Amino acid sequence: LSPDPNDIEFRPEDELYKRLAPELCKDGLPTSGVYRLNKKPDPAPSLDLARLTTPDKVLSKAPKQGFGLGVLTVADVWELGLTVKYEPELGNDAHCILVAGTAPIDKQKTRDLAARTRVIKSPATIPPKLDIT
Amino acid sequence: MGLAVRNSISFTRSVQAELFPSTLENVRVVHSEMIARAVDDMFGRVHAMRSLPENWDSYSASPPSQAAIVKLLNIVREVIGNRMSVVGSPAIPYVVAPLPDGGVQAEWRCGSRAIEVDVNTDGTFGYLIVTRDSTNTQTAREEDHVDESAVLERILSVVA
Repeated sequence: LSPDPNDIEFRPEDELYKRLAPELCKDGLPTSGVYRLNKKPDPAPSLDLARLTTPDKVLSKAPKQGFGLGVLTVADVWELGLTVKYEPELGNDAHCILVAGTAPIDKQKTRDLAARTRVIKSPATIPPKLDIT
Repeated sequence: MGLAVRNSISFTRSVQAELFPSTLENVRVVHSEMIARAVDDMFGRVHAMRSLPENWDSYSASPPSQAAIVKLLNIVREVIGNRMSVVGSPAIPYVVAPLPDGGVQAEWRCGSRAIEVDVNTDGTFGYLIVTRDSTNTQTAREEDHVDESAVLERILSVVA
């Protein structure tokens, strides 16, 4: 059973996991595209609250090999004027979203979020390095 | 060299030759390994973008629109044609990438400035210009739904 959303109190040191699609990374680091809004019904950037999941569990939702894993702290999100909202979904008790707080999620914010993301598992390189022998 | 590798290189070269004949000529003249590598990297990324399925980012992203990719390549060609002889490799995007909503993005970096350009699925463009001054203070300016000539002007002002 997911924790009641009202029972989740975020702490600054809380960590949030983000899967890193290799296509959205360059030189092993995320680009702003990782945090860009989607035009789907739920457009907000999704992350997983680390204390409710594990890196392996987060990466198991990747559609193919080669995804990396990044970490943001809640303090990072708050410092940028954004808010973290706990939104558990079917099959993912750790699901959270980033929403506008005192600042909107504009292009600059997505770049700042990418810059603050610490990579704990490197994504695959795109395009693949050619093994010329 | 393996067959797959040869085919991959051959594919990349043929697409480059088709889309960027004058650029390739420039590359030959300059004989810069760094430029050739940056061009190869860019085309490799574009090639990878073309075949992305739904949910390619694992967060329900749409595949990049082919029209957006073509528009992006047009802009890239213009920038390279205008700036390669002036700035060299910074005329080639630092990165090209898909966006989760079906658009595509390119970023140019030149000295203390960078510009991210989005090609939206509705055919319009957006951009973010980031500038760092000598004290490392960052300023940013962004705009959305601008036309191709306006975005090209902004890119050329950064890649200079």
